[in-house]
Amino acid sequence: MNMMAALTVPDVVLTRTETAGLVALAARSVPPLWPLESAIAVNPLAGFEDLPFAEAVQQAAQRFGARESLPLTAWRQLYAAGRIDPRMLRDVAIRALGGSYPAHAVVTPGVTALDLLIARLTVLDPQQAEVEREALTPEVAFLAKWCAAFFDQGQAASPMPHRELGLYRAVLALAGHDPDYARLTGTAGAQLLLTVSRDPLTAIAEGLAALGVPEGGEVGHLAGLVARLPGWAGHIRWRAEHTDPANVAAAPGTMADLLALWLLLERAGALTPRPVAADPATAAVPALAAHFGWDAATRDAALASASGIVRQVAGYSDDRLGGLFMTAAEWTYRNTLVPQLETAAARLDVAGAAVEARPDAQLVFCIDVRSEPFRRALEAQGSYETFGYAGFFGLPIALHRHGEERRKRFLPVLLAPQHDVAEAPVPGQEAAAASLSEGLVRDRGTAALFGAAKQGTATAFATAEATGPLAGLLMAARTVGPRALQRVSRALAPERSAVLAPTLDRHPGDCARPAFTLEDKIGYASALFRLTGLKPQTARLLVLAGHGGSAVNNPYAAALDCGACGGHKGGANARILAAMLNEPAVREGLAAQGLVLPADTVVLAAEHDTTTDTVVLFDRDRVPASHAADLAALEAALERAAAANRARRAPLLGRSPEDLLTGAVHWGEVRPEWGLAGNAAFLVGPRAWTSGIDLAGRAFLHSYDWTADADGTALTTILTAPMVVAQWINCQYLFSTVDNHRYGSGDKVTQNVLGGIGVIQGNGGDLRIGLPRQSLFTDAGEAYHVPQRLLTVVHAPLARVEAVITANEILGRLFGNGWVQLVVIDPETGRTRCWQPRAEPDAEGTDPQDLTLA
Amino acid sequence: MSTADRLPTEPAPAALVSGPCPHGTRAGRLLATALWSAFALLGAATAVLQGPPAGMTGLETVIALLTLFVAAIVTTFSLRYMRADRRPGRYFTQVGLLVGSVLLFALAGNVIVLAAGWVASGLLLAQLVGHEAAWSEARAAASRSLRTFALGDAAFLAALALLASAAGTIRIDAIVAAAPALPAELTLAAALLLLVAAAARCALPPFSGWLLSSMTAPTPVSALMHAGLVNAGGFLLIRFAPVFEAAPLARIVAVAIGLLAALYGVGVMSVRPDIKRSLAGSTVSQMGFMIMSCGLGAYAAALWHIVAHGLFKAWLFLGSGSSVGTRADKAAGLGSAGMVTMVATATLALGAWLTLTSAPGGSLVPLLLGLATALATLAAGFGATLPWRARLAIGSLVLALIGFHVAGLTVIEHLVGPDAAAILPPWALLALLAGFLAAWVWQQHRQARPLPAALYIHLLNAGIAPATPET
Repeated sequence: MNMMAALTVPDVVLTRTETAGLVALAARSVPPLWPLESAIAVNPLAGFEDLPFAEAVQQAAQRFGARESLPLTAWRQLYAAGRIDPRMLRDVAIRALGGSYPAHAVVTPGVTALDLLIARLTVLDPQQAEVEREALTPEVAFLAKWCAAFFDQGQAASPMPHRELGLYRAVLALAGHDPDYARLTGTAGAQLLLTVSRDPLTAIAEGLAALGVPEGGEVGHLAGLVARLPGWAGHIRWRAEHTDPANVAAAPGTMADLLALWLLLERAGALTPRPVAADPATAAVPALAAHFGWDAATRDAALASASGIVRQVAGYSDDRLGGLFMTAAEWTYRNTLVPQLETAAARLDVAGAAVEARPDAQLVFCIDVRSEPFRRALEAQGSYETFGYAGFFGLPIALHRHGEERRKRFLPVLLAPQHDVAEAPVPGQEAAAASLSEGLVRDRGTAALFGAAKQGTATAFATAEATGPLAGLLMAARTVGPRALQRVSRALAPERSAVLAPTLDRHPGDCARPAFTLEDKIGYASALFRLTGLKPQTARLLVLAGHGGSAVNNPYAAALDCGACGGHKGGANARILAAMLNEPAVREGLAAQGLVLPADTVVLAAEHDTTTDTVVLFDRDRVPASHAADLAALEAALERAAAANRARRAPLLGRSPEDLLTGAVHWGEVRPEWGLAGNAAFLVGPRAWTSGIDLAGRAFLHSYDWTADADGTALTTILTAPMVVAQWINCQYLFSTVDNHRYGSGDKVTQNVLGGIGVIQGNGGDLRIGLPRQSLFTDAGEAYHVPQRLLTVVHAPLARVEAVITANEILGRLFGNGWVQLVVIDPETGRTRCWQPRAEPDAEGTDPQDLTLA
Repeated sequence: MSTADRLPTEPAPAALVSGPCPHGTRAGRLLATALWSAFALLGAATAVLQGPPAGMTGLETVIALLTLFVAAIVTTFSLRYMRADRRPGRYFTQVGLLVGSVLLFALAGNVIVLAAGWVASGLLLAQLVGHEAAWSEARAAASRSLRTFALGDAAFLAALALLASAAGTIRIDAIVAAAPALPAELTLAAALLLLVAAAARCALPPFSGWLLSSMTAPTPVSALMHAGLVNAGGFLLIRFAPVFEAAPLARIVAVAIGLLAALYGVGVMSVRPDIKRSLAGSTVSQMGFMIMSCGLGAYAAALWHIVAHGLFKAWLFLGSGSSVGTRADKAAGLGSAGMVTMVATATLALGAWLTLTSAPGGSLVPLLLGLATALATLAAGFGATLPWRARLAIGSLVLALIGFHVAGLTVIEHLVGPDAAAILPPWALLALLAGFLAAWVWQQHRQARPLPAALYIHLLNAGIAPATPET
């Protein structure tokens, strides 16, 4: 392409509307990126879900400059640790070679094709060198710098000038003063600054024309540019699609702004070409020859063989080999889990007839993988029945937390808020609430005063001097005795949840209007029964337990909270649904639908702290005296379950159970818990089906009773909403592990919080996406999270599952393209079927096939 | 197989799990214990004796206590924070050696030991900035630090050589005692060279780049760097105070460069969107103020600033993970611009009155700025538009902090002895004070309005290594 042509103002071919359409399509190549204060797991490859998994990984790797798989050495560590069954690896290798016959073909005397491939998988030196952290290219550094300055939310005291003009025009206005711009673009850049259109869409059209991007190639070209700063592009998508417009009005930046800047740099010749992946060709031949002791003649004969299998095996890239390991890990897991579930399903049908006694209490937990081991521990403590339900308890709400300016979305990001809920003092706690809110005001006033004093040219110095001694004391306390410090601060201020509760009856903006109508309440209350298969014959205590993590001084604290509650703790949602279920009018409404709850059922809300395993029961003093003994027994059981689960988790973290409590409040703790690391399965069925199996905290559990869902609406909801969220989480963990620098956020110790919204690494660069290294890898650097795709197992009649999949395009895409593997255990026929993805080599269509178990 | 799958359990050995401090490597735990013990011992001795222990000066005791305390905190913090480090042995060894080298030069009796400790601390610090060795940016930041230190260290060695050969001794006390009698040109040259060395370590312009681009260092290293290592320049000026007192021009240069850094650093801090580089801008500013105080001869104020700022900055760096959270609007903070103008005017008037009625020392500037801060924060705290109990609480906190400040300064004055004679005439001191106050008033009046574009970009780019296109 002619350099000068890129600089002249060309005849623009595309209209603004057309360009806007192209920009919108290009924007889809990155998913939205939520600010860390409400971290939401997203699939970094969400824009590629239209493609079969393997192809998507390959294309995304090229576009983002990422790996396709864990390095071979990491896979071998997992293999050596027994995480992958050797027989499964062998089966995967055979399939990759085209079946048993070609795999066992002899290539040289005594050596089969399979031997070659197994040697490459498990023994021979990797072909790809371990790539180090990629250096920042100057153009990425330049744009990342300006995005950071532009989108900053309150870190810098002196904001970027001209923000009101929008990102593109603000940077144009400043670039002329920026020596970085001059260095990057030279005279061409200076000339373009004068001539380029000030309207981002027109500038994009101009740029595409000037660069001679062919018709039909525009989206691909723009998407390639978007992918150069996936973090900031994702942040822009979040601003446009997932937050209240007022929150981002101060800095109006759009994808068109970002793309117009990229095209400006490209026209000025400032883009560093993306490195082209080297073709592995047959680089592994010498290693194979050495390993099998071939002389030159044997080698040449092998290479010349008609089947070309030696060339094929030698040509496999490490990423391709890693892909085989991943499949082997998936098969290993599936072939261990599914037989157990089959056996349990068979037993379930026998036991199903037995009359069940009324349990002492029923507890509904989030589907989160961390609920499973806790539920198991609790069930072992007595007659307690547990359920799994999406942790937002079906309530699409935005919460106006007391003392905060902005409402927060406590709902899955697939939904839009339908109800605005405010917090109000708990009856009888008005005085404590007033003192709490005064404390909030005081703390904010102190922070503002401190912030202003340390910025003033006359006050900065004495402020540092005056606060230094106090800082020294607090620093010592937080380092040496964080739990003592926590006790002191708890003694000084009332517990927030004890004095404030979400209120159902008052809309925050409009006191006359309730947050929920009675119909709303009855609808949400009945959904709990419909979706989980919970029978109306409830226990004396029914507890709805949300969850959240505990971490201090940790930018990723919200990533430990409830994803279904928009990256917040789930207690508020649980309290709202519990309050609804306790309302007599709601009970009457439920009864009218045939859901007649026993009069002695008291519904309680709770919050499970996944870091410490403590469970807080809310509003426990409003439990009638008649239920005091039930409550006391339950609380004792919860404490025993907490101790048991801590004892189970502690060795996984390499720490003592007691230390988990310390880590939860220690400001130096980078891994207070393992979060959702290890997640691998999504199980849909009754708890009785899974309760006998140790699922090791790797499974999302959604309660479901196929006998109570004749038309499949509950199953549709479960598979299209909670399962999709689980798949996002699964893919976030998968890809953050595979390439922690591209799809993850790298090492925590060199992260630098930016603008209150996210982190960068060190001095600059893109806003980081995904999860940090410490959340996925052990202290020794081995992958704790084994990258593998979600395995969904549904306990329901096959025909019903098929109908649901056929009716929902998203499911056809996820299962058909192999993003999620589906197994159906049919309770009517007792048969197990495995959904065959379209793209698998031996697939003959998308019909379900019998699962062959090794 | 009984379970669906097994995670690598590998329960750690029982001793490791049940012990009181299960984190970090053995080397790290040993280092933490040693640092806490040494700090407790030295602290207790100083408290019991109500002064420096035998054989140590007040300056040495204060620097040693600060270094040991911050290092003990940072090491204990690192036991958890650096748990997944790829080379924990190297990390803790280097931190230990770094603390050792700081103590070595802080307690040195002769210039050979002083030089050895000084040079070693620079080398070790650069190593830790580049701790993530597989990251090209970290290596670049490390070599940038090394280059700056090499320059500063060369000046330092030259200054020591000049002084030692002229005084005919390598003992620091003897050199310092002989300084007034040495040829004026020689002391001036030595003092200027020492100032270059100090500026390089304190990251004063034009040497700020290394500090402003050192965020490749793990967070605890940054805390140690900003609380301990950058102070070395101030220590040097106080340790060699008589040399500076014999070379008035060098003191004036120190005041000038310190003033420049103090204002420049505030600017850098105010434009940075990321927490760590914003803190780095603040450090440049604080170090400038401290070097300026040294130049003015306000040694006790400077040393107290070293201690208190060290604690303050370590606290902010270690807690930098807490700054997630978006804010809708900026709270008013210091109150109205009118109030600030009033405080500034009153402070200046008091300064003028003091210069007319007495012969003020160099500490006039830091003391009156402290007073202005106290007045402004008290007025803002008590006068905020908040419920009276909240105002009372904030006001009392400010009063308590002022109390801390005064007490700390008093203790330091007791430990280090008298200030130097004033270097600047009273009108110049007043002008200096007026400069800080005027900048402050200007700042408050502009508040939400952005800076002029060229200035903004200059501050935003400060310390960014020019990225060169890869070939």
